Amino acid sequence: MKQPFTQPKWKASSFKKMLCGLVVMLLASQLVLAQTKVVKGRVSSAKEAGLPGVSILLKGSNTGTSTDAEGNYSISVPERSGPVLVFSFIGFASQQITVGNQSIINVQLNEDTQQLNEVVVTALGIKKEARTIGYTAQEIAGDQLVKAREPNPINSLTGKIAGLTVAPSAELLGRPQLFLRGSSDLLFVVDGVPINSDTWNVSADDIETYTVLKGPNAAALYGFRGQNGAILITTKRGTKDKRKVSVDFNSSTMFEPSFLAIPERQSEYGFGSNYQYAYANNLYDVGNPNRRANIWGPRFEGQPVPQYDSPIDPATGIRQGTPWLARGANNFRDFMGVGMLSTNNVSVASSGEKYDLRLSISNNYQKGMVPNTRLNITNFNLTNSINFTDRLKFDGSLNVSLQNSPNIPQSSSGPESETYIFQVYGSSSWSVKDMRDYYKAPQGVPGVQQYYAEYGRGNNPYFVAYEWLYEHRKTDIYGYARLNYKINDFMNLAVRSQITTWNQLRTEKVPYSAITYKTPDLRQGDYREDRRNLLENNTDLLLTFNKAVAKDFQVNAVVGANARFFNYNSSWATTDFLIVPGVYDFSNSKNPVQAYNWRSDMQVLSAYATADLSYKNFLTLGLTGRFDKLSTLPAANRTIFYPSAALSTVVTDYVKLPQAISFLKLRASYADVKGGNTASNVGSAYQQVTGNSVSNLIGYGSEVTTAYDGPSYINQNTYTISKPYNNLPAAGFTGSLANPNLQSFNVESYEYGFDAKFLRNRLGLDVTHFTSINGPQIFPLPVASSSGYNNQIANAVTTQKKGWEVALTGSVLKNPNGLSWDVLANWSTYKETLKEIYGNETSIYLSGPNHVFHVGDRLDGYYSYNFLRSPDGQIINSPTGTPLTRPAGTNTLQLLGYTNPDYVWALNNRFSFKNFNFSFQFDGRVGGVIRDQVYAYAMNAGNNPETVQGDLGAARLKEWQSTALGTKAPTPAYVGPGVVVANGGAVQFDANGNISNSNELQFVPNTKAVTVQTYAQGVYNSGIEEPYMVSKTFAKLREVVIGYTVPARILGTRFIRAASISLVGRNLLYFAQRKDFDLDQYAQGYNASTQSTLKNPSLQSATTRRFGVNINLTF
Amino acid sequence: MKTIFYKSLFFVAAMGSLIGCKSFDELLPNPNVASEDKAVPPSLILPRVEFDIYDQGDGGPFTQIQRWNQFSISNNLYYGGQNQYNWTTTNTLYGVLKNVNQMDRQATKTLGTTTSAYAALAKFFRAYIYVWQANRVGDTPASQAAQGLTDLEPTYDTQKAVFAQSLALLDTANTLLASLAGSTALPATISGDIYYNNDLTKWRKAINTYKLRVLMSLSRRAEDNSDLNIKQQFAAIVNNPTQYPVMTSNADNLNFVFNSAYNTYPHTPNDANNQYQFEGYPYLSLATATQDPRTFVFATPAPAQLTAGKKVSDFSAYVGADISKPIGDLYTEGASAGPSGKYSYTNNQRYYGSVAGPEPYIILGYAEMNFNIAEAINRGWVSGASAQTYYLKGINASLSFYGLTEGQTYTIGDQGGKTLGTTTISISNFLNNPGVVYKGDNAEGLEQILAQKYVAFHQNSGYEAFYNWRRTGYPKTFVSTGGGINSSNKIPRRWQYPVDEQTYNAANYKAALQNQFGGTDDLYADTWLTK
Repeated sequence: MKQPFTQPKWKASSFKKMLCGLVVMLLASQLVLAQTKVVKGRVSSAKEAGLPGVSILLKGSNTGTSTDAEGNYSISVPERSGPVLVFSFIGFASQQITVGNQSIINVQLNEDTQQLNEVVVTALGIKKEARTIGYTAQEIAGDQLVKAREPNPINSLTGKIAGLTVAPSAELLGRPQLFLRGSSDLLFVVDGVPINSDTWNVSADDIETYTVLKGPNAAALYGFRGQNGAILITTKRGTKDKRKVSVDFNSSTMFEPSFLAIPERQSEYGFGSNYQYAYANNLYDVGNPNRRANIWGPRFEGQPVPQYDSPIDPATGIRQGTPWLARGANNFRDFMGVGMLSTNNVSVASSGEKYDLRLSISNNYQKGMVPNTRLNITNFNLTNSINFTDRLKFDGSLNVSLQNSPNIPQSSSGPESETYIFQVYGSSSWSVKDMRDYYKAPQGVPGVQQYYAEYGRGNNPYFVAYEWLYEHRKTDIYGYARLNYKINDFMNLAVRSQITTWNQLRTEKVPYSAITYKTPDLRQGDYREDRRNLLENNTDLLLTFNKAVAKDFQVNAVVGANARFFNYNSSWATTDFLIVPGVYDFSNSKNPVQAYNWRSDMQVLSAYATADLSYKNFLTLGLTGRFDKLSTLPAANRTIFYPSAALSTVVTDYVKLPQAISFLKLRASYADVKGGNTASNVGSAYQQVTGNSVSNLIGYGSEVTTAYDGPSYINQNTYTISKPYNNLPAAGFTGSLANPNLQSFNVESYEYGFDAKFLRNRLGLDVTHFTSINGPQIFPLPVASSSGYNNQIANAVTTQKKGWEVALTGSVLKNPNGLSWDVLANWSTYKETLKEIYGNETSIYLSGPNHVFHVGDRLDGYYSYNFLRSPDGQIINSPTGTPLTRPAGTNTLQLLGYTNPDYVWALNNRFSFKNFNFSFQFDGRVGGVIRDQVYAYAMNAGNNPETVQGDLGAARLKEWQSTALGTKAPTPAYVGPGVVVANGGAVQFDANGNISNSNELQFVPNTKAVTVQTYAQGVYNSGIEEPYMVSKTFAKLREVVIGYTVPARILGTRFIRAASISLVGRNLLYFAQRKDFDLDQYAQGYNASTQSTLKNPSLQSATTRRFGVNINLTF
Repeated sequence: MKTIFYKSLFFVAAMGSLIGCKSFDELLPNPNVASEDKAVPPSLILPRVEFDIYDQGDGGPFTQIQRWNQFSISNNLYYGGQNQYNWTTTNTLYGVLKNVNQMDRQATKTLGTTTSAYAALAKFFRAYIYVWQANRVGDTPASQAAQGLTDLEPTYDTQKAVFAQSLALLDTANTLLASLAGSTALPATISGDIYYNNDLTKWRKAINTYKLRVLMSLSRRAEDNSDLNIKQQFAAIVNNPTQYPVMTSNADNLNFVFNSAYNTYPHTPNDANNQYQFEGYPYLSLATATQDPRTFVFATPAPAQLTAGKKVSDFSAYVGADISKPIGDLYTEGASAGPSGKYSYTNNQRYYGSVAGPEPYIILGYAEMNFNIAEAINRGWVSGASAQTYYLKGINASLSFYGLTEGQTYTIGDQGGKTLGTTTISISNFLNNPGVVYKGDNAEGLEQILAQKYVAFHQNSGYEAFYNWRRTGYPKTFVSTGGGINSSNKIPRRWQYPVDEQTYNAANYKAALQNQFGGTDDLYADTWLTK
């Protein structure tokens, strides 16, 4: 629950204390006269055993008192008249208690999030009353998110904010993808200053609140970086504890004992092709036609099959058969361990007359499920402020995050990935238990040659886990210092300088004998290093002005200037095979080392102003304006200006509405943001220099991207230097034509909505409609290839996003001493369409979606091939026994669905009963399509359970039985469903790939039998994606927390002042069309910044349920 | 307050200087790459162009193109690839043309003259790219192409005009190289050449040899387009080797040579095995029928034939696969049938035996040139020369390319280094085979020339095997219909124009369609070249 923002004035002058005391004395003396008794007690909250400064009022009188520093109070009440005490404190729901016979009344106050005078942190860290804001900003308290922990702190925001979609990564040290109103690339701001964030460099325990500014309206003051909205983080500051010192300890330990989304595999048939398999007579299976086998081999019936561990007859040199059995039916689960997540935080806070201080140390240790994988993140956070005088104040903070992992598991579709080894080409014919000694003889040679069951495609999973190491080290520092000078009662001058810097090292050790798919694949190991350094400084000068300039007119204004300095440099280098096995150093490279470096610098100078003009506190007009001078734009168009305006009014303040409506605020806003030629993420130096992914060079893997926000340099005609032939240099000219007259991009946003509260604020409804007009963008506009180029950089392409966000809060039950039930529901939706292209152009070809779009089209369509169907809807097969395909080409692709979800929802329930609380959250998304690649791969490989079930399974068994235990070619037994064209009729197609002569064709049932393998692989390789498409609709039971707060009376001693313990669970249930992969991580459909559509997510790690316990102690 | 304001300003400036203040103009360009104003020598652009001509234009051996040429027939969609002629919009070489222009421009800039060896090569590459485009689609942008912002919607040249200007460019390139021939000074030399190691004599031969290929590709239009002087131009080259030097041996071939460290052969010993592709029926049936020793070079015996007791030296043991068969049937009858597999695989020992591969990839070869000249003589374009001589030169050039000699003992091996047996190479049996002995300057002789040319194209020369079949209908063994070909059961005659042309050069695109095919971008319509 949220902390109050306005604190009672503890440090009141001694005069005030005296006065107060006098009043109390006077009142007390009056009451004594009227037969009084004294009631004593202690007021506490969920977090603090003693709540100081709580006002206690005798109902119906002016008599009152307040609690002392320990939360104790004492009040005299008249005995006769059934006195009632009213306990109230800002930020808490007030309580009324009838005194009756009691003389000791202990009260626990509950925090209230729905106070009308709620204060929200907005851009630049300026706190504003929520009622005056004309745009949407939703807030969540940090301490709601530290019980049921996620490895990544930002993952915890899932479902908490309407319009913010968090797609948590399934990978260790994976960065969640964040989409706010469909846009990624959000700005992170800590205590008013922007930071560069990989989302891992904030520590959940240090966060007081998250505020999400949901669009450019809210973020106009951060300049172009705020174009998609911002996540503002306010960190915890020095203690409010009157003892001036407090110590907090928060500890979570969670385990991952079971899988949530995992592809299942058949274990009836093993390695091989067409029911045949035999390991060759030589040591490493060289030249064996069954090398690189799929899982289309013989059935496990104990028949003799020469295998990797079968003996060779010394006389004949021929490998003998040993029983063919499903030795490794449970290989994947046997290999994977139990993951663990342990988070511990200690924070010490202190405050005094002249200062406050908080120091916090957190450690986040994660043990991966893949053996020998782990992640350690240690975070130091220091915040302080010093009041030199009443007018001059200094404050600052420093956050240091150290990330360290000796080995991060990979999940790509490649030889370094456990998912690939087990879930795509994992045969049950070998047991993973036999692979633990991965240098075992006879095949294995320590340090040189791995032992495995298969030497054509894959690697021994233990060998990968313990020898093929992906190291990660990152030091991430950010902080600021600010000097604040209060010029007079209404003006304040602040100068603030901030720094955000990190350096990251990633290394990869490829051991000798590892199969890599590099060309050529000599299997002689490699060593690679990827180093990246970023440094950014923002320095601001801010003058604030807050004054009632006339009766009922309040002006709150800020005038500021900002200078942003950015510097980034990186290098990427690799050996080209090792000379000596196991020596991972560039000096040990067989062929010349391949090294690349890349750097960038950028400056932005800005001036900005914002003013909120309020009339009687119920009508507020907010205006902002900002000038940026950007080093990334051509000189003539370098200085850009963008404005925003917001209007809000609290209708209930001046219009009498039905009693059920206790509060109604209407709001509308407009913003226009500009910017240009920056990128939010950056790849390796190799990619930055060559334009190609590292996988192009090394044959596998994927590009590591990091948060960047620096120059993209896209608007420049350059040569790319490469070494296409025999390591000799060559230069090619750009395919992208620069534009010397390029202007900034433009994002306009309109937003309107209302905040309403009903039934004495027990029900809150927040509805927003937004329209975001994105463009003209800085767009690589495709050109005719005959011009010699692929595209020209232009101010082109405008898209329009329209959507709704609804947040509903309700207190279904509200009983401080009994059962309380709070509900929070979020719902959001949007659609993006093409509004304008360029000049008179009405259509545009985008290579990502591979489709020609017309103005008005949705951009998130999935275009691919589906089955051709007869007029009565049956699949048409070709005479070859597999489904007939359409002619290939962009124009013949069909719309298979849209990739963006239709809407996103979340439902959070919180119950509390006395010292117990219970909460759970369901959330999910509805709509959208995606290719289920792990399913498609397994169908092609013959590994999917569907290939041994139903018609496919029956045919597969029949075929197997026709092979005489794999010694003969099978008799094809599978007749694909559907029809064929009869009487030799020829199918004709129109330009869109549809059959143009179907009324001339006769269709008869398909009778051509093919093998199950031919059919499954035929469909997979036909380009028909229909069978692999799944709905992206899913729901998750995201979190469950059962908590118990130890009552103060049990704690007794003054050593531990508050204690709570929670049993927590995360990601407990998952509902989806097919549970072989976790759709949660693929929130993205169309991505405007890359003009691409997520169609095929390839492979991913299996996701797990997480259970654990959280302990929170305050000393 | 003022002091604080100025102090703060100073603070901002101080922070700035800490990180390093540069002028905004200095910060604008990318410091990591060579921008267009940098002195990038033409010798650095040349290898890019040359590599892309191979990589994007041809693709190399054992690629999809070689399946469409029917030299390799896949039996496994996933590992062996598609057999289907599922053709669609063409890819283009205009990006390479852009680099050619850039090389030409930088040569002029750095050498101070437009008459350099780079300029001559630029003309050759332009012609090569124009012809490459026109062969695929028909009319195509050429004279106005690859000019960037100057012309983002280039007009289309008719296919005839494209060929005419290409021939003219090749002629100028030859003349220009001739004029530079005596000099060893810079404008007359090149560096960075990955094909001929900067030997311009060989380049000149290649240019004229290429011109022969282009002229021969126009055979269907030789009679009705006298303005093109096709026959005369052809004869001029054959008759005047001083003015038009041409290739004189395999050593003059325009080859892409593989190397073990960086540009490896498509198949290597780590490639597991050769069982995902069969050798094609069209050439193997020709070769076995004529006792062609190249049979042993390319293929291994079909397992069923060995099982039935045939020897490895027995030509009838080698059976090619038919591309029109359903791929599932090919798999069942072949790869999965083990010892009773019906079809021959690629010679594993030769083509999977080393990282650098057994042979370079021929982009333009001496053997083909001889067959082109033989064809021209057969067609009566050149007088006073013997078609038979050139025909035999072509055959011998191909045999010697594979290192075959009379009486040589040749080991036939299968996968995993397994030796199946040996055979003795008899070139004389082959050359004396009635099917090989030249039947004269008539239709039968023409068919022989084109059949031998086809066999010599095995796994090389890009689309030439297909183009020659498209132009002449030879070899007759080329499979042109059947369920495995594609959903329409027939081989397309051309590709469609790129989608970006349809979208961004729409008016010119539509006009070109109207001029050629009555408005439809028809895969099965013949262009002017092959009508």
